[in-house]
Amino acid sequence: MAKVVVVGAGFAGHTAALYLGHYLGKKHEITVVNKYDYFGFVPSWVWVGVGRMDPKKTIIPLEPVYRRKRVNFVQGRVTEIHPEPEEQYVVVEKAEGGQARLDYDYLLIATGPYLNFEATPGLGPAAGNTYSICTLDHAIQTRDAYLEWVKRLETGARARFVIGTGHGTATCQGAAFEYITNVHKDLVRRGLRDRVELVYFSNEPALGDFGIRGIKARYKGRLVSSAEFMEAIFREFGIQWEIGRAALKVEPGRIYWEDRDGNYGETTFDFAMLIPQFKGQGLHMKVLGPNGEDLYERVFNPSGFVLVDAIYGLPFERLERNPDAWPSVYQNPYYPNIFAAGIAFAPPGPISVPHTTPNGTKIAPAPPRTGMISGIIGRLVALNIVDLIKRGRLTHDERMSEMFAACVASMGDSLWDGSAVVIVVYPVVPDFRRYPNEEGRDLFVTHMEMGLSGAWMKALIHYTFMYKFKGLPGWRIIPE
Amino acid sequence: MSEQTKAQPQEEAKAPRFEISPRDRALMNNKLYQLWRFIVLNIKILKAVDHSKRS
Repeated sequence: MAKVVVVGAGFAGHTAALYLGHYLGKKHEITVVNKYDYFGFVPSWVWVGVGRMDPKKTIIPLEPVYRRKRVNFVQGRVTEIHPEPEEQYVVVEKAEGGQARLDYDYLLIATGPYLNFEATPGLGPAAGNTYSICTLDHAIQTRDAYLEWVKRLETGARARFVIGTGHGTATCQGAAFEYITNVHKDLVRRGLRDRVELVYFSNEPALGDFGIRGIKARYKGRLVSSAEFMEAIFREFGIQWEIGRAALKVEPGRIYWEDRDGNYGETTFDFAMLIPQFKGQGLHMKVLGPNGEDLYERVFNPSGFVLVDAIYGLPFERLERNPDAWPSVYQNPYYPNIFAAGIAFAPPGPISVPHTTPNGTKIAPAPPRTGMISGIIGRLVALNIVDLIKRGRLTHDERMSEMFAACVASMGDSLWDGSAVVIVVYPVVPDFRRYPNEEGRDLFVTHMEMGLSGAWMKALIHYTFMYKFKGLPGWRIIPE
Repeated sequence: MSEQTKAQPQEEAKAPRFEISPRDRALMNNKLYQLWRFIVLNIKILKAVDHSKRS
């Protein structure tokens, strides 16, 4: 009987756990360790943040799902990994108190990001200056603060809301885009839009970069870039934008930033939701050998992300021309029974063109590995672990340079007058060898449009994925 | 009031600028047209899923 431990139950970890339970649950021991006792459907937290969705509708209690799938569940966090062949166990600090030792034959690290608010002094809910929608608690806090502002606006106040990223190398700009457009729509609905100045503040070199260096797609008979598309949307909504800026420090009502040219400046706000830099959860784990020796560097990179079968250390000019530098099986090179999925794996470098200011500050979005990408990798790794146990070999592989992704960015949840931008991108990481055009992407598949149908798509995604993640009959038919 | 980004004036100099036209605006909320787009988008995404490796 093989023992598989999955650390993390987000998009990647929970998807993997469902597949592992399905294929191995009866004969093998699958255990999931997660900080929370629920799975959170992160894409819908933009709606929680404006009070348009009950937080309970975005979560699924994990224990009942895993009981049905014959998967064990431990609520807690992994503090130590002992990866050497004679040990192979993790130490878990349980939420109920005390520690547990979990032996494994295969370990999947799918921990999601460590929200590194500390990288920008004064950033985040703990510092009290800005809000976030990166966890459910944060989204609820943000909603409460936003609705408090709505009350003030109703009494005639005016305000300036700044929404975007709070660090030069932050990622997840899509969430910030969704949040600002949902705030816009909600304020329009309440008749308060004219009292609020909305500002999108981002580290992207151009609007619509989203950490994947933007896309180009055919729209109305011509090739339109995501930058042009997003600018048109922001002009339409009366949203200002400040891009190419790294937030350096936040004080009450003020963001201190540096732009790509090395100029310093300030942006004022009354309410701000800024996404922090993401680091890996490995920063909170120890990797130890049998005699207590530190093996951290074999499993994690200095940012806490898991080292996998990527080619690391290539200069960007070579990396962008080498799609094979991206990992295909997400397997640790030192310990072949350790895998990573979702944000937890260390990418070989950025997808967007990196930029360092004359003062040495890095301003470039990090590559996104969230949502659909996480789910795809989680499934792939789970199926490979199944293969290793049943057949002794890996049979699944998919690089991000071979991966298709669809992104539906909500711009209002209403099924009557809501809207969303639908972006289909293939491949996620440009492959200039297979697609020798300016974009390195399949311009037939890559697509971008906006409208009410997008809002229907977003609602469809919410309900079908909540169904899928409950592991109910037919869940495997729904693609990641 | 803080500074507006430099990108805006630069972009405004570009021609022709991509704009959402009144026709686009009408189509974006036309229920029948959007139902058609909804079907097309679903097919497009399912085809793309099939087209990708998903090995």
